[in-house]
Amino acid sequence: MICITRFPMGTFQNLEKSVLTFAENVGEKINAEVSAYCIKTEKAVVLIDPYIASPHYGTARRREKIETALSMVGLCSKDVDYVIHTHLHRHCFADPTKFPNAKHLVQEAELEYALSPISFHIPDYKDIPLQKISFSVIKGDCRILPGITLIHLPGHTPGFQSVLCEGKTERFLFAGSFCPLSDSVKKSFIPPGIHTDLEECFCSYEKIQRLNARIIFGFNDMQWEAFQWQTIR
Amino acid sequence: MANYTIIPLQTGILSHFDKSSFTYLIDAGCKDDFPLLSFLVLGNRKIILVDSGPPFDPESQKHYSFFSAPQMHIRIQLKRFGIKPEDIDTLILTHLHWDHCYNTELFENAKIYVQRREIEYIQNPLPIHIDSYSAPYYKTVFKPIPSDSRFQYIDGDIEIVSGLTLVSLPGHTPGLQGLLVKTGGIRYLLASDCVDLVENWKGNETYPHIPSTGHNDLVEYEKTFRKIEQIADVVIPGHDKCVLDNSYYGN
Repeated sequence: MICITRFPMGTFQNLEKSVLTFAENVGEKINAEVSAYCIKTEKAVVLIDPYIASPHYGTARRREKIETALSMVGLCSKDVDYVIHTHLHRHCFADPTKFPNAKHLVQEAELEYALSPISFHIPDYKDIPLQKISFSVIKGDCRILPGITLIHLPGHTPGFQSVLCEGKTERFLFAGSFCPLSDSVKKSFIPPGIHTDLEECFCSYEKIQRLNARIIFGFNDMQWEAFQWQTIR
Repeated sequence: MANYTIIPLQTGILSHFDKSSFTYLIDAGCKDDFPLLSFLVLGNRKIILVDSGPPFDPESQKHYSFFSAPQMHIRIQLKRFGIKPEDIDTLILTHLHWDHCYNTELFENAKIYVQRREIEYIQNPLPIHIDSYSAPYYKTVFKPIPSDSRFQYIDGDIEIVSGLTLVSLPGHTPGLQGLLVKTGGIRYLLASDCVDLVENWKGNETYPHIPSTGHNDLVEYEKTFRKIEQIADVVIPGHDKCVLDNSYYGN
């Protein structure tokens, strides 16, 4: 049994929507709610992107500390076994020292790129002390626990990964910033505004379609009913 | 070394156009007018046209939300300098977006240079790029006729005559090429939409250079910017109205 809970972390205020939907909704401003997810299995506690900070292109208003959110489900930061970094952009990068017993899972391609991004992406990775952190490096798709698989989806960043949670009948894909809004897939696929390679974006979206899972979008612009919690058997 | 004169020709205007279409993720919502540009390069007994302009029919102007006055037609623009389309001996298509590659039928005596990568890409562009390559009049993407012997397909950089070099500048599109003009000891780069505006090249406090929003691979785009730093002294952008402040460049 897998129990998934959404932790509302805060909001990107007055965010230019085309940052999330490439070349669409240009000039439109939104408040985008940012969430972390806690996945609790019989064996482990997993967090996805348990942090929010202001990106260089906007301002984040923090809602609650991750410690507070964990306590609401009877956990503390020492209980966390895995922290999944979907990618290493500074707006969602969680300080590993907060989770002393956790393995920090990141794609090898992401770590390499974060250490040497192109000039246009340097601000996205600024001030992350990558050299001081001991990551558990993943290469490609990887099942980390029964029913929980990391899915490599390059495009937004070279080493972006999402999280597939699957039970006997239900499948959820926590797509994060790769599919930030329901608009990202409403008509045809709209790549995220920030990306490294558009062709990879489209290939990764085809991969998502093959997974046949319900997509949990990275941000909530209040246009749809947000995922709250779910138990998968 | 031969001397060359570079003359900008305005073939249309993108009116009230969102600036962030050129400056990726910067100034979203800011509207301005931007010219569609071709260039005439004269010298060394050559008459060279860089880009043959947009389709001028009203349907295309409506579809792409651009304006072209009758005097902006490429034929009339050339006539200002006493040049007829059949006098053009070399036509360089920097890339195959709609505002750069139409009217090729006018240039019956020209060798037409296109990068092979660009031809390959338009066979199956990404969904978000199809419209940029589309021709509403023809209801299809632009495709040269295979039997048209005027077309010369280029792989990478090549000097076509002394002082004039086609340079591969991928990023905006996979097969974009610029023309490097060496004249009077200065290396001018007609960068086309690799550098839409002066601001794209000069950058800002955050970015050394700013890519165009029209792009397919930003990592490749960054390498192209590094290449331009090495090869050019003066970068002439593809859509900046300040280009028209000078009636000519070079000698």
